[in-house]
Amino acid sequence: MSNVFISTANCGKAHDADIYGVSVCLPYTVTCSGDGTIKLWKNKLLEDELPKENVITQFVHRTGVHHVDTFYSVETAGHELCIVSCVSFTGTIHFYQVDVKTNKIDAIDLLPSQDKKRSYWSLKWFKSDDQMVCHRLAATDVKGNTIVWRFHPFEQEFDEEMAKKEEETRTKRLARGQSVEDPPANVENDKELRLQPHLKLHGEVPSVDPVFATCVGISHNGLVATGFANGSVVVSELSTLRRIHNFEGFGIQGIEQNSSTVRAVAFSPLGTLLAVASDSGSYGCVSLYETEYGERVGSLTVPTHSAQTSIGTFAHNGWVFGLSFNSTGEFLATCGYDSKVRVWDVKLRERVSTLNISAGDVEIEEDIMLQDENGESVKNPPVMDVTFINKGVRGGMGSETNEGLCCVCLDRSVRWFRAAGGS
Amino acid sequence: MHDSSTRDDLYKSLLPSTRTVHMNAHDKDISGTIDTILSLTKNSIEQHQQPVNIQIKTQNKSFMSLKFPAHGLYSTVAAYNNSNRVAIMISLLHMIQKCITSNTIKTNRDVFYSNVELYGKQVTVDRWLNIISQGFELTNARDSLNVIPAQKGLVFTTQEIKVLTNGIEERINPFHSSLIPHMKQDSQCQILRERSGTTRLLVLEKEAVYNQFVNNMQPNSHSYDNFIIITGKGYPDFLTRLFLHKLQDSEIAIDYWEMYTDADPYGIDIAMKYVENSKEAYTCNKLVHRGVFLFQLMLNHQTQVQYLPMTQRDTVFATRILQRLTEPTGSNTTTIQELRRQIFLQKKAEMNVMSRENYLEQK
Repeated sequence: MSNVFISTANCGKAHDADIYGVSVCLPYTVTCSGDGTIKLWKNKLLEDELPKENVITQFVHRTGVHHVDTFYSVETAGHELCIVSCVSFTGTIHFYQVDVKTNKIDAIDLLPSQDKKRSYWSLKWFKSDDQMVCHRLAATDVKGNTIVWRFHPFEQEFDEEMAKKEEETRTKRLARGQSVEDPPANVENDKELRLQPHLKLHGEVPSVDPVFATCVGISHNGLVATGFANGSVVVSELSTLRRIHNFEGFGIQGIEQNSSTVRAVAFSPLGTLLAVASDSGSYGCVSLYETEYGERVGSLTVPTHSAQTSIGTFAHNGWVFGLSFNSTGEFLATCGYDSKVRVWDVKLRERVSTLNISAGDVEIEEDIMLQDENGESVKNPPVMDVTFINKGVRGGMGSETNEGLCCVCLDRSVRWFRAAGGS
Repeated sequence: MHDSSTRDDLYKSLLPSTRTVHMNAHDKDISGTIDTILSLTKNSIEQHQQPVNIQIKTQNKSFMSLKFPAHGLYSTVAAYNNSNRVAIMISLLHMIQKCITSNTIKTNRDVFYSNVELYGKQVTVDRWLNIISQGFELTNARDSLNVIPAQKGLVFTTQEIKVLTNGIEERINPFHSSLIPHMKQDSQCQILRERSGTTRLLVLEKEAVYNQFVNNMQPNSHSYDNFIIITGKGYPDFLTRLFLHKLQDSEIAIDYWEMYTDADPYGIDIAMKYVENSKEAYTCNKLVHRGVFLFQLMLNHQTQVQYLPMTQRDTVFATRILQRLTEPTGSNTTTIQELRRQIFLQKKAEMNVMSRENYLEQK
C-alpha cells in the first residue's frame, strides 16, 4: 500500500452545524452533526454523481447528535441488515434500520426498556465473524459505566454460552477419541427465521469513580476498552466483563499539561494493540498498548521544535479527535485539531503520510466555508473524526483495489480519499 | 361541649372569631392601602382583642394566611415561626409606607441592616418583598415600593452617559468605574458624544477582567475607540439588564455590542440571561455573545491555556441548557454550538486566560 492519499470526493456544508462523527459501512458513509441530523452518503458513486445528490437525511433530535456507528451484515439466509445507531446530546441512543435496496430509513427500537433510562455518551458495534459469537453493541454512559448488549438479528435468540459449552464437550469427546454426533446442523433452518433485530443486555462494566466515559472500543479477540475524561483507560474481558488492565493518565494537576482526557480508543483488527488518543494540555498524544499483558509499547510522535513542548511527545499540534486502524492493522490514521490527518506505520511507529485539510479545497465553490457564524476562521478546519475505508467500499477511481480514508471537519465538510497507485 | 358531637365540631366552636384583612390588588395609592392594612390590624388587636388573619394573594392565585396570635390546630408548634412571619410582614409594610410618604428610596440591604435580628438573612427580606409585591399585584415592584435591590453592576465609559429618571438627571462620569445608577422602567439613557470614532460596548462576566480593562484606560491616550464596559459580576441583576436595555435606545448609537463570559456552561447561562427574559425591559437583543469560546483559546497557541475538566454537574447543567436553547423558539446558533462543543470536548476554561489585547482584537 502506498503512503500517498488522493482526494476522491468531498462535500462542503454537508451539515448545518459541527460534524462530530463519521462511520463507514458498505453501502453508506454516515455522518452525525450538531444540527440534529444524521446523513447517509451513498458510497458507490458514479463518476458524475455528486455526494450531495446521493444522500439520505434523517432528523434525530434537536439537541444534536455526537456519536454514530453503523452495523452492516448479511445474516443467515441472505438477510441483509444495515443499522445506524447514534447518540444525541440528551443521552438517548437512536437506532435506524436502512433498507439498502430502496434507501428507506426507519426508526427502530432495539434497546430493552429498562436500559433506556441511562444517559449514554458513546457507542460501538462489534460485528462478529464467528458463528458461535453474537454481534455486540457497547455503549458508555456519562457516569462512566460501560454497558454491553448482545445483538440478535432474528426472533430466535442464539444462546452463546450454551453453544460454547456444547462446543467444549464436543472437542473433549473428540480428544478422548469418542464418537460424536454431528452438531444439530442448523435446526433453525427448519423453522422460518423471522427477522426481528433486538438487543439483550449482556452486562455492565461498572465505573469505580463517576468519571465521564468518553469512548469505547471492542476487539475481535474479546476485549472492551473504555476511555475516560480523567485520562485513564480500562480494558475488560468481553465475555465476563471483568477488568483486566487499567492504563492511568499522568494525572498531574495544576499545570497546562494536566488535561489528559482520552478522546478515542481503537483496537487493531486482531485486537493485539490498543491505540489511545489523549490530550496533553492543548496538544494531542497517541499511545499504543499491547493488550495481552497490558504493556505500553510506545507512542506516535512527530519531531517538535517548539520551546513550550519540552516534555511530552505529541502526535498532533492540537487535541487528537479520531483514530482508525486499516483492515490489515499495518496503518493507523489519526486526526486532530491541527487540521491534519496523519497516517502512521504501526510497526515502525513512524508517520508515513500527512494530509493537510484546508477549507478552500472543497470542490464546489459555494460550499466552501471559511468562517463560522461567529466570524471565527475555519480556513484550517479541525478534523473531528477519521476512519479507514476498506477496499471496494467506495466506487470508482481505483477505490476497488485501494483502501481509503474519510474524515469530517469543522468547516462542515466530509472528505473522502483513497490510497494512490495500485497495490 | 354538649352541643359538639364530634371532635371537629368542638374544635370549630372553640375557634375565636377572627378579623380577616385582605391584601390584594391595590388602588393607585399604595401608601394608603398599606395604611389601611396596618390600622385594621392594629385596631383589631388593640381595641377588639380579636386575632387577625392577613390574607395575601400569591402568584398562583391561592391565598397565604398569616394569623396573629397563632391559633387553631397545632398552633403551639407553629407559633414561633408564625409570629416571626407576621412581624417581618408588618415591619416591612411599615418601612415601605415610610419610604413612600417621605419619598426616599432604600435598598434591600439597608432594610435588612435596619433589623438584622428580625430578618436574620438578606434573602428573607428579598422573599418577603416579593410576596408583598405579588400580594399587591404590582407590575413593576422595584419602582413602586421604593425599596430597591442594592446595585451590583459596574460601568466604565469613555463618554459621559446621562440618565434621566422622573426629570432628575444623573451622570456617569467618564474614565471612572462606578456602580450602575438606579433607574426606573421609564428612565432614559443618553450617551454624550465627546469624541468621534466607533463605540464598542463590552459586557464582561467577571469583575477581575473588567478591572484589567479599566485600569489600563487613560483619558489622554487616543489610540482606542470609545468604550463602554459593563460587568454584572456573574449573574446580572435586573438593574444591569435594564441599563443595557435603555442604552439600546440611546440617540448616539453603539456600533459593537459584545459580551464575553467564561467558556463553561454557567458562562453560557449568564450570556443567555442578558438576551433572554420574559419581560422585555430586561433584555438586550443587540448583545452578541462573542466569547470566550474553547476554540478561540486554542487558536492562540502562544499563551498556554489551562483547560479544566467538566464535572458531572457541569455536563448535566449544560445538557439542560442545550435542551432549552434548542427549543423551536430559540435561535442563537453560536452559543448553542459552543455549548455542544463544551459537552463534546468535556472541557471548560476561564475567561481570565485571554489577554486584554486578545479581547480588543475580536471585533
